[in-house]
Amino acid sequence: MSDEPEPGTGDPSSPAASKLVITSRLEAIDEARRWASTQMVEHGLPESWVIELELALTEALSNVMRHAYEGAEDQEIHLALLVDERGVRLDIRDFGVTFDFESLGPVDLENPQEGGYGVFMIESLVDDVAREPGRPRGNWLRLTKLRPAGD
Amino acid sequence: MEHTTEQVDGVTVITLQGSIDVSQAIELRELLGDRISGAAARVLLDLTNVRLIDSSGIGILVTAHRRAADASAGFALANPSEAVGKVLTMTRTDRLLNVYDSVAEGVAGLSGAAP
Repeated sequence: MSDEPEPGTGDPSSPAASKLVITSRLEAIDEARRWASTQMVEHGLPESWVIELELALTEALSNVMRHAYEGAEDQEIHLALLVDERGVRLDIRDFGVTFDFESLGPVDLENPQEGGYGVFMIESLVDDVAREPGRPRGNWLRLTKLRPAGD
Repeated sequence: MEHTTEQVDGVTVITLQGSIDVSQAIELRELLGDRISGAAARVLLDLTNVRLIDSSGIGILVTAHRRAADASAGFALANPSEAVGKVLTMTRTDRLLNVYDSVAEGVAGLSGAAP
């Protein structure tokens, strides 16, 4: 039995997906953004849409580095990206401490804060967020963003 | 973090380049903290060339705004891109922060602010 959710059509865990492994350094976030952006632009997706996915990726990686790896900079994060006619699916897999997104709590938008927007922003920027504890450890996150209407 | 700084009509205009994300958070926090250092401070952050801002960046802007308010200083943003403006709106921090459509308007607004 695989330690990942079952792959299916258009699944980033399929061999057709692009893969990247980065280390858990903050500087690697830019590398991951450029990797994802290049592929989305090559598929003709508009820049404003691409930036939104990049931003969701940034927030997700930041959460992994802070909460799953607790600041350790030498750990692996596996990324898989699939761009197709429907949009983009992006898997983010870490092998650190399993953390509960819900425990990060809701953000109080009526009282601007100095932090805590990350999960809210991820959920606002993509069409679907799926998450599961990694097996045997860590976290698995899938971000799905559909192509803009009329694209 | 790539940036330039110039003085315009008593306003410190800081022009940022690229992305404001968690990897530059400490540098940006220190940069703004150094500039917003007293009641006479007038700081305008030119976001014309900022492509992306994440939640860490938003947090730093909120902190800078409050620091300026506490010190009776002036702090504002100018000319956010569509993507940056969308994040400000999404987080509703556009209701708190002072945002001008252009650097010229920001300089005029801050230089006219009461000390």
